[in-house]
Amino acid sequence: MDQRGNPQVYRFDDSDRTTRHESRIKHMNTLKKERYFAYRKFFFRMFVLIFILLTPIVLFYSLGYKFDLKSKKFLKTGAIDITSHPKDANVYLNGRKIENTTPCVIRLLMPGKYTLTLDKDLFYVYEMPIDVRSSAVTGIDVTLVPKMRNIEKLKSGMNVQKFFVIERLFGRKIILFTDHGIYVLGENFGDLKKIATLSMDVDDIRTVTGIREDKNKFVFWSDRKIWLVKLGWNQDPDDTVVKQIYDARKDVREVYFGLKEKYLIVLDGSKIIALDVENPSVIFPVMGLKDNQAKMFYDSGSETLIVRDRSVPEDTFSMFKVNFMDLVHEKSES
Amino acid sequence: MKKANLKRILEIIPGVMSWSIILSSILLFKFNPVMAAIALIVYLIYWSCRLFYMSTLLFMAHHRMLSKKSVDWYKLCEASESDKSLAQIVHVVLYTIYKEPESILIESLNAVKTGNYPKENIIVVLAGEERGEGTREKLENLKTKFQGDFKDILLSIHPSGIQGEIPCKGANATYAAKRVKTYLEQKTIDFGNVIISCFDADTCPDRNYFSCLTYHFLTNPNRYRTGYQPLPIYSNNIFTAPAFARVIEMGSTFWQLIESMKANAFVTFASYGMSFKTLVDVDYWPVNLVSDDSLIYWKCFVKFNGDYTTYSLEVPVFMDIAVGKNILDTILVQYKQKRRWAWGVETFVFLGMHLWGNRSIPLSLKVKKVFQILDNHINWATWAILISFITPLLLCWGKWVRQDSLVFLNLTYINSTLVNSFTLILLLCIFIGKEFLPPRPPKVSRFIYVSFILQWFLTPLVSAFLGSIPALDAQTRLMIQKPLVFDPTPKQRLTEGPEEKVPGNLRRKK
Repeated sequence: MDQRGNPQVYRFDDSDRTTRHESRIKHMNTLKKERYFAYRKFFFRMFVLIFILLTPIVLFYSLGYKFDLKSKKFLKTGAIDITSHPKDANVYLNGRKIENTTPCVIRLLMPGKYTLTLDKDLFYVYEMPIDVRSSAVTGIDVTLVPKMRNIEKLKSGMNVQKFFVIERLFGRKIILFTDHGIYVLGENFGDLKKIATLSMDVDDIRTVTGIREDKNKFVFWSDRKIWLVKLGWNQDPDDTVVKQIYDARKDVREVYFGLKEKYLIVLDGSKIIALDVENPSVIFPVMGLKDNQAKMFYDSGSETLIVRDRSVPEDTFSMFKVNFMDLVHEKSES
Repeated sequence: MKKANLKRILEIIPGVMSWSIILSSILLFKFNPVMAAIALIVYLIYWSCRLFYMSTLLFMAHHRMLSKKSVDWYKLCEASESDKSLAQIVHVVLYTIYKEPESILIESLNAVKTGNYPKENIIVVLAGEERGEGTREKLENLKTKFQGDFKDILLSIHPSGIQGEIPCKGANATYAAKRVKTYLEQKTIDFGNVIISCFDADTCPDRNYFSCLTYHFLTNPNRYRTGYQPLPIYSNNIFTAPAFARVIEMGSTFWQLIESMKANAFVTFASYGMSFKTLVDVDYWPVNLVSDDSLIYWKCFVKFNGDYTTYSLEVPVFMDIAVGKNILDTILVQYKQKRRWAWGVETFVFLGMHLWGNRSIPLSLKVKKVFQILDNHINWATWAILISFITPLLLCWGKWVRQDSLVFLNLTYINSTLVNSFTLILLLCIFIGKEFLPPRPPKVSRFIYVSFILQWFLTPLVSAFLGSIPALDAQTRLMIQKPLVFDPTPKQRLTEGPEEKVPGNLRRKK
C-alpha cells in the first residue's frame, strides 16, 4: 500500500531471501502502511486516556464533591430535588434565581440552611426553609395555591338557601334548594338544571339537614319532617313537586333507603322505623333504642342495619347489627 | 498439574467470571448500595468509552472497505511481481452442506461462477453429510448442473459415526479436505499454490473475492502464516427477514468490521480463506469441536508458535440471515445460532491447554491472547444484561429505596446522559447499515427502508436476548460440562417462485 493506503505493485525479490522473522516484520510494515491501523492505535490510546481522566471526575461529581476555591479543598455537597404542582414554577434559592424551572434538581450545594421560593403566575408565592445535607438529596414536593381569579356567577336571580353534595359511583352532584325550586349542578359543575318546584316555606328549607338519593327519587329531611321528590324521565320540573311524607315524633336524625329501596329507614328520636315510600302512612317499627344519642347506618347493598346504642347492664355504648337480607329474601319468595 | 484438571479449570473460568459479574452487581446493591452505584458508574463510563472507540473503528473500517470498492483486483494480480505466477494459483472452494436446499447452493455456486476470476483455476468441493437426506442426489444434481463451469467439481460424502468425531462442520470439512489433498497429489498440484476457501452453504462471494484473495496471497511474504477473512454480510434474504434478526446479523457484520481493525487480534470467522499447505501442516480442522472457524486460527497460532495472523480482505461475502418458519421459530433459530457462535469460548480451553507448557511462545503473547479471548466472551455475555436490564432495575430500586442518596440521583442522570449519547452510535449504525443493503426487489415496498431505520431501536432488547443470554448459556454449559451439540442453522428463504440465476446478493423475481 502507498502512503494514501492504495494498493501498489509489490515486488518480491527472490534474491532478497530473508529470515522468517524479518519477512514477518516486512509484512507487518506493509500492513502498517495502511493508515487505518495507525489511527486505531491513536484512538485506542485516546479513549483509554479519556476513561482514565473522566472516571475520577464523574465519580467525584456523583458523590457530590466540589472543589472550593476559597478553602482550596474538596467539599462534600448536597442537592435539592424540587417538584411542584403545577410545574414550570420559577425557583429561587436564598433570593437568587435558578436557571431551571420545576421539576428540577439543584446540585453542588454546600450543606446548610437555605430559603427556597417558588413563584408562578396566578399562584401564590411559596416560600420555605430547607436543610441541605452533604451527599444527600433533599426532596421537595410542593402544591402551589392558585390566586382567586375567574370567579363565575352561575345564575343570577337565585336565592340559594341550602346546598348538599351527593356522592355517586362515577362522580358527584350538588343539589341546590332555592326560592325558585330545587336545582342540580352536574358533574362538571357547569350545568345548572331545575329538577323540581319547591312548595315549601323558606323557613322549612333552611331547616333541611340531610338528603339521600336513590335512582329516580330523593328524600330530604329536617329534624321534624321528611320530604320526597320523584323525578320522572323527561318530566317537566315545574310539574315535579315536593311531597311531605313524614312528621317526626321526636327528631329525625338519619334517613336511608332500604329494604329494596322501597322503604325509608328513619332514626326518629329513640326509635328506628321503616316508612313505605309509596304509602307513607305505612310505618313499621324496626328497633327501639336506649339512648337519644344513638346513631345508625344502613347498608342497602347488604340490607344491614348498624347501630351504636347504649347497652345494659354495662352502661356503655356498643355496636349492634341487624341483618335484613334473609328476611327480605324470604319476603320476596313468599 | 494434570491435563484433565487444567481442562476443567479452564472450562469453569469464563462462566464463573460472567456469573460473578452479574450476580455481584445485584448482591453489592443489597449489601453496599453506594459502592455498587460507584461500580456501576465506572462500568457505564468504561462501556461508553468502549462503544465510542468501537464506533470509531467501525467508521474507519467502513471507510477502508468503501475506498477499495472500485479497485480492480485482478489487474493488480496481473501486475504484481511475485515468486508465484497468477496462473499457478489454484482456488479450492469448499462448501459444507447438510440440510440446505438445492436452490441455496445453486445461488452460491452461481456467485462463484460469475466472479471475475478465471474459472479454470477454481475447484469446487461440495462436502455433504451422509446423515443428511438425499445428500448424494443433491450433490450429483449440482455437479451435473455446473459441470464444465469450473476446473473441477469434487463431491465428498462425510460418513457418520466416525470414532473421535462429533457431528460438526469441522469434521465434514476435514474429511473433504483430505479427499482434496489426494486429488491435488494425483494432479501434482503444489499445495503451496493452493488457496482453500471454506464456505457455508449459503455463502455467495463477491465478484472480486478470488482476485482480492489472490492478490494478497501473492504479495504477502508471510502468506502461509496468514488467514484471509472477507467481510461477512448477511444480506441474501435481508428483505424477508424479521427486523430483530436483521439487527443481530448486521451487528455481527459490524463486529467483524471492528475486529478487522485490530490486525493482531483478528480471528477467522464463518467463511474465510487460507493456504492449503498451512491447512495440511496443522492437520486440518478440529473434528471434535464445534467452533471450527476460530479454532483453525488458534490451531495455526499454536502450531507456528504465535506466528499467525488474519488479514481482513477488502471484499465481502454474502450470507443468509438465519430465519425460521415464523417469528417464534426465527427467535429460536437465532438463539441457537448465537449460542453456537458463543460456544467459541471453547477456544479459551483449547488455547489454555496448548499454551500451557509451550515455551516457544513468549509469556506476554500468551497472556495477551488469553486475555483477548476472555475479554471478548465475558463482555459478550454480560454487557447487554447489565446495561439493558440490571442497570434500569437497580436505578428504579434505588429511586424508591434510596431517594435521599445523592449518588443514586447522579447515577440516574449519568445513565440517561450516556444512553442519549448512544443515539449517535445508532445513527452511525443506520448510516453504515444502508451501505450493505442490496438492491430492493420490485415486490418489496419502499416502506421497508423505514423499518431498516427503526429496527436499530430494538438493539437494547436484541443485544440482551439474542446476544448476551445465549453467550451466558454457552458459558454455563461449558462450566457444567453439558456440551453443545452442533445444531446447523436452517437455511431457508421466505421467497417463492422461480428466480433468475443472479450472482451474490442480487435477487430478482421473474
